[in-house]
This record gives sequence, structure tokens and C-alpha cells, in this order.
Amino acid sequence: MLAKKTLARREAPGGGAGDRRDALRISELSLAVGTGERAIPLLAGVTVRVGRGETVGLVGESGSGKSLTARTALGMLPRGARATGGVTVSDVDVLAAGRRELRELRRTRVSMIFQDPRASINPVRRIGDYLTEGLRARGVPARAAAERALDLLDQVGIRDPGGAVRRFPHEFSGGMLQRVVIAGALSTEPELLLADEPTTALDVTTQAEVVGLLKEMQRAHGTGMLFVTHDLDLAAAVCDRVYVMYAGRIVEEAASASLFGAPAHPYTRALLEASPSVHGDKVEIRAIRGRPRALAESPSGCSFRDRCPLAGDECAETVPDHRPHGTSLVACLRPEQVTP
Amino acid sequence: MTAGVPTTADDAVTTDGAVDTPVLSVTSLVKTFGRFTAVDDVSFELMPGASLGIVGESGSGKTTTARILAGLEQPTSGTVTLDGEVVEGHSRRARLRHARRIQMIFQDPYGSFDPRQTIAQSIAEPLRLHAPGSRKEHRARVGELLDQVGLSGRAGESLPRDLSGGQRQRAAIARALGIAPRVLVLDEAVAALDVSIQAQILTLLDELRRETGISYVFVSHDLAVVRYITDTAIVMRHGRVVERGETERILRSPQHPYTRLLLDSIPSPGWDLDRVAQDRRALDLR
Repeated sequence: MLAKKTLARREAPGGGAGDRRDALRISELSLAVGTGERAIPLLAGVTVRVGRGETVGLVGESGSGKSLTARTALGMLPRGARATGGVTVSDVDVLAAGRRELRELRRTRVSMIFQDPRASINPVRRIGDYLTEGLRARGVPARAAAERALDLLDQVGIRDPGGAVRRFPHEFSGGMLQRVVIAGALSTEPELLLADEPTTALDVTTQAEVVGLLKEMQRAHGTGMLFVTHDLDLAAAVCDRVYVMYAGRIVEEAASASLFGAPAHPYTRALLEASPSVHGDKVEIRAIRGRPRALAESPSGCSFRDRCPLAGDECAETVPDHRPHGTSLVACLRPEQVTP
Repeated sequence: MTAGVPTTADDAVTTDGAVDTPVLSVTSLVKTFGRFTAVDDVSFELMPGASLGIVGESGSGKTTTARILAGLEQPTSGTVTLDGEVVEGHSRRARLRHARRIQMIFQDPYGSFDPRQTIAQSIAEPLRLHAPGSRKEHRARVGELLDQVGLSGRAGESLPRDLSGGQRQRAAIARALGIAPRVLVLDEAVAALDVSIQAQILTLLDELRRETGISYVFVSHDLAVVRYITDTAIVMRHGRVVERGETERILRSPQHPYTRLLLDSIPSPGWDLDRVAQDRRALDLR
């Protein structure tokens, strides 16, 4: 309980402490596999909050732990992993929940969509079955579920819903199938939607459509969304607030509107400078030396220090606490050198 | 096929710098698979040391075009002229001759390395095939190449699976550069890499072009990357070229509604999804 209170205070820059019932509240979450000497840490001190109806981005490169963090909201931990800290989805303590409670949670409160819709949909079942499955499990009568499925397909912009429910997944393009998956994810009116790189496998123009749909559906249903992506531009365009992850830790939290103009962490800034852009004048990109690391192989103290142009001796001593700088909450000893 | 032959009416890609002859010129390329036309009347030219982007989404025919350039597919009709010579036949001799002048880099370098060979052995293979010399000379050249793409000698002794995605892409570039080809065809070569690694490979490619005068055909769906790495570009849709010109001009004042749709679809702060929908309607009306 005490931990939660300090947490609420810390989150002040992220749009107030919010209501008592956030869609998702991950606090000081640490995750490791193995025991004793051979324990491999995966996440350390991760704190993420998604308010009801809010869109929150989780951005990072490979190995940053962004997908891992999102999955903990469903109670999906790697085999043999031990977790400390708290994960709460609308009043349900996920880490303490038993199998039945977790199943109930996944059935009614939280939905997840993945990068590849074909991997999350049974290829030999019709689309109609896929859409009614969740509803039936909730006790909706067959006929009402079928009607709801048609309605959902119509909402996500599938032409001829009546024909679509009888078709198989392979008869849809990737973009269309991702729409079906979104319809399915929202069919149970969840409080939280976890979207893990939902548009990465799609064409640019299709991505724009699917994101538009996702935002619209989310607004209509009042769902909180955790949007996991490697694409900073996309996160800034879609989300209200963004967390930047590096090597299993959150290094910066900021409102998307200010993240671009005033990044507070050297890593965020480096990412921005490394990304070519189609907007404005053509500027040189600056590569970040080295490669992204996982928590287990990162240096002591600040994980980014071996790639950071600003790093000094004191960065090696301890992991920097999160502190406010500008409109961000940042884990860096010298954010004033990143953006004065 | 000689230099200066205008490829289409609005040919802005090639005509400047007419003193040189193009190192690569493609005329009326068509490729059909059964009744499906993947590439439909594509023409362009590439000057020595220049970099051309082929932009498009899935199904645009960009990868098929790239594969024809690299000699991995035979065109149904049309010609590819490399170094002033029309590419013909696919006997072993013809293919070797072709491969010496044009090399290709793929999105996933893991699939293009023999998993049992060390990186150094893989890089040496085209040298053995194309460049006569002693084993010692080859070894020295491999060392040079590793150095040129920023890989350590230790990385050279590793197996492909022990390297990261970025390192493997560096190795693929080293292998392609070994026989000093005139043209490098890069098909979504940085698409699978993390942003920070992508920037490393892009700056490396930029440096190599300046140092060696090699030409690039850079195939990508990513307009931001294309902007960085190319001078001119063609935009493809449904197998056809819908727009061509200087990359910077295309981005600043796109003429074709499809190019506009592509540009507006790129997420940015203040992203206007209504405009994307408008673009789409404008395109459908055509």
C-alpha cells in the first residue's frame, strides 16, 4: 500500500494521479528468470500507468522489455520468471491472481492484439466463429453473439459483414484481418487493450487506416490502450503519453506533444537524431554507437552509459532515479545537458 | 541502348549529368507471372555513383524489379543494360559476368549466409569465384573489407548466428563489395533493423558510396530512409511507375495522388488521418 502512495506522487507529471481505478497500473515491476547466481534479470523497476480511455505508448528497441512489460498485464510471464512489484488491471492484482481469475480477466477485462494477425487467429475456423467465441464465453446467447459479430465487422469497416463471417482468415489481406482482430479484441468491451506493434507488418497506407480505426474504436468504447511500438513517430502521433524503455527500464516518461521538441533523456534524443524524417529540411542522421542491450548484459549504473555521449564517472555508480525535468520524468543525472 | 535516351516523357531522373553514360539502364521492363503482371513497363537509368530509390508498398513490383536487375528473375520483355552492355542469357558464364558488376543485399542477411561457414569464409567466397589470387591475397582482402564495414576480426571468425542483425548486414555489404561491383541493389536492406542500428548502416552506405563511387538501387517502402540515401527515385504502384524525379522534389511537391497518400500516411506529431482518407478518395476517383 505504501509503495502505491509514493508511486502516485511520482506520476504527477504524467497528467495527475488519475482516478482510483486506472485501466492498468504497473508499479516497480522487476522480473527475473533463474535463481541465485544464475538469475537473469529482464525488467527492473518498471512503472507504467494507463488511465481509463487513455492511450499510452511504450517505445523501445529490441530487448528493451516493452513486449514483456505489456504481457505482464495479462499475467503472461516467461516460464520460471519471478516478479516483484505490482501489476493491477482495474482492481485485479494480476501477479497474485490464480488461473481462474486470470482466465476471467483475459476473457472480460483485457484484450491483446499482436503484430501478425495470422498468428493469433485459428486458420481453420471461420471469422464468425472467431468473433463470437469471446462473446459466447461470456454467456451471450448464440443468436445475439452472431448479430453482435456482424455489427462489429461493420464498425471496423469490413464490407459485406454477412459474407465475411462465413469466410476463412486466408481470404483476407493482412490489413483486413487486423481489422477483424481489432473487432474481436473490442467485442468484450475490455477496459484495457494491449496493442503490441499492431501495424508493424502492414503497409504504410494500411497502417494509417488501422491506426485511425483503433483510435476511433477506443474512443467509442472508452478503452485504455497500451500501444507498444519501436516507432517513435508513430507513438507520438497516436498516444497521449509515452514511456521510453531501454534495457529493461523506463528511462523517460513524457506527454507525446513535448517528447519531440524537448527530449529529456540522452537515449530519447539519440533515437530522434538517428531517425531520418520526411518532414522539414533534410538533416544528417546521427548513428548511436554500439547496439541496444538487454538488461542482463547492460553495464552497472545507468544502462545507457556505454553508448551515451554525455556519460561521466558518476553514471556508473547507481541507477539514476526518475526525476522531473521540463514536462518529462527522466532517469538521467544530467537532463539539462540534453535539452536545456 | 545508349545514354541519354529519354525513358519517359517526364524524364527527370537521368538527363542531368549527361557527360557520363549510365551504368545501368532499364527499358520497358515487363514481368508477368501467368496472367498477373508484376512489373509493367518500367524504365529508368542510373548514373555512376548515383543512388536511385524504388519506393512502393507490397504488390507494387519493386522487389520483382530488383530481382530482375540482380539477375534472379528473367524479364518477360524489356532490356537491362549494364555498363553499356545488354544483359542476355543466363548461362553460368553470363550469370557470373552479371554478378561481377551487380550485387544484391536482402532484408534478412541471416537467410543469405551459409550457417556453417564463418563470416570471413562467406566473404571470401565471391572473391575465389570472381577474383583470381592466392589464398593469402584473399585473406588480406577479407581483412580490408571487414575493416571497411566496421567489423572486427573476431566478428569475421564468428558464425552468422553469433552476430547481431546489424553486424550480419555489415557482413553482407562486405561480401557484396568484395568484387567491386558497379551497382549494389539493396532490397529493404535496413527495414528489419533497430533505429539506432539502421542509422549506422545508412551512414556506412553513404560513406561507401562517396569513397568508392558505387551506385545504389535502393528498394524500400520507407520514404524517410529513401530520402536519406537516394538522389532520385521512382514511385511504383501495381507494377507501374506513377512518379519519378529528384527525391527531394517528390517529397516536397508530390504530383501523383498515390505519392501524396504515401506521404500523408507517415505518422508524425499532429498526424491528420482525415487527410489520409481524403487522399485515398482522390486516388480512388482516378
